[in-house]
Amino acid sequence: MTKIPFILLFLFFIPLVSSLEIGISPPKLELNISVDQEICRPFRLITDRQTTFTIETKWSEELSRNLKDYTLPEENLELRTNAHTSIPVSSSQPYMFCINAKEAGTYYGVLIASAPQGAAVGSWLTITVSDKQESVSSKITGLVTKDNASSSISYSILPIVLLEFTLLFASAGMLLLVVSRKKKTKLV
Amino acid sequence: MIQRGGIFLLALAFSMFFMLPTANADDIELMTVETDIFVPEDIVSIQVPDYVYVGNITTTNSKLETDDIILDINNTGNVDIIVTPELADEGETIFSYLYFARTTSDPYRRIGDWSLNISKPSSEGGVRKQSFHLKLDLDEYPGDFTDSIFNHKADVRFVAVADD
Repeated sequence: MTKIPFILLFLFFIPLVSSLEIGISPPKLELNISVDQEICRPFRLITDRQTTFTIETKWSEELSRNLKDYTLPEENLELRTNAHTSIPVSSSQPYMFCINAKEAGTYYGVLIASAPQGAAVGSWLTITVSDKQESVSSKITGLVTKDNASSSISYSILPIVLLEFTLLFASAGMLLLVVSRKKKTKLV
Repeated sequence: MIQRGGIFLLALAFSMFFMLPTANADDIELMTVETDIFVPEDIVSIQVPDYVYVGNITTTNSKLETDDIILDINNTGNVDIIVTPELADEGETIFSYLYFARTTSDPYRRIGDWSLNISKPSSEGGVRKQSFHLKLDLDEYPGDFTDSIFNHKADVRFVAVADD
């Protein structure tokens, strides 16, 4: 009987609500793609307990940071993504988001990962779709630049090596000249 | 005279040959310094309650509303966020009259018209807690309650996105 107040006190301190923690990274993604080009980028889904994320995208006609403005389904915008899927996550799980577009333009969207416990996290999407195919030269620019950078050390010692050889040839030439003169004087 | 010049140039060339590898050699007394630059990835992360009993309403009372409930949402990421509550089932009628406010001095706004800004935690790995107020107010509800309704539930989804 005397324990009842303690039990009631214990019950009072039990939280009336439990909570779920979820996360997504990165918070925003900006992509430049060409029409009909599929491009994929990794996201990371995080949770503090075993749950299943439902992935979806919503789109807006214009740039906004109000979720209410994101009402368009991707089908209306000639976009194709691999969203609309479910992913079981225990703590941290990579998710590869892929997209392609049939029409050029700039698309504003949000990728939402929802847990059934009532929490959802989103990542802003800005997809710029151009008509032109990405040029090959723009892809290799980085490599060329990198090669130049790595070979810059060898270029810096090149003048010294050339000077070395010039000095060697000059000194060898002078010595040969001296020797030939000595031989001539002996013959005379 | 030419002979001396030749010998001088030869000596100079040889000495430079010895200096050349020395200048690029690895055997110079060097101290290796090392560091780790940690750039944390930006994460949108929240901790929200997954269940709450909002209370009961008696239809004979003058005000058809529940008591005010204070709940917390934690920003557990490292960016400023906007959290927007929305009904998972858009056809839900009773809980479409959920009202939210940041503080009691703020006007209550209906679900769908309200969002909560939460700054990022002050330190990496920290938590920023933000309280808000919630109540169910059926004064504007168009239907009639002829029978009691028990254990009526609906899913509210709190969507967090970066506030940039």
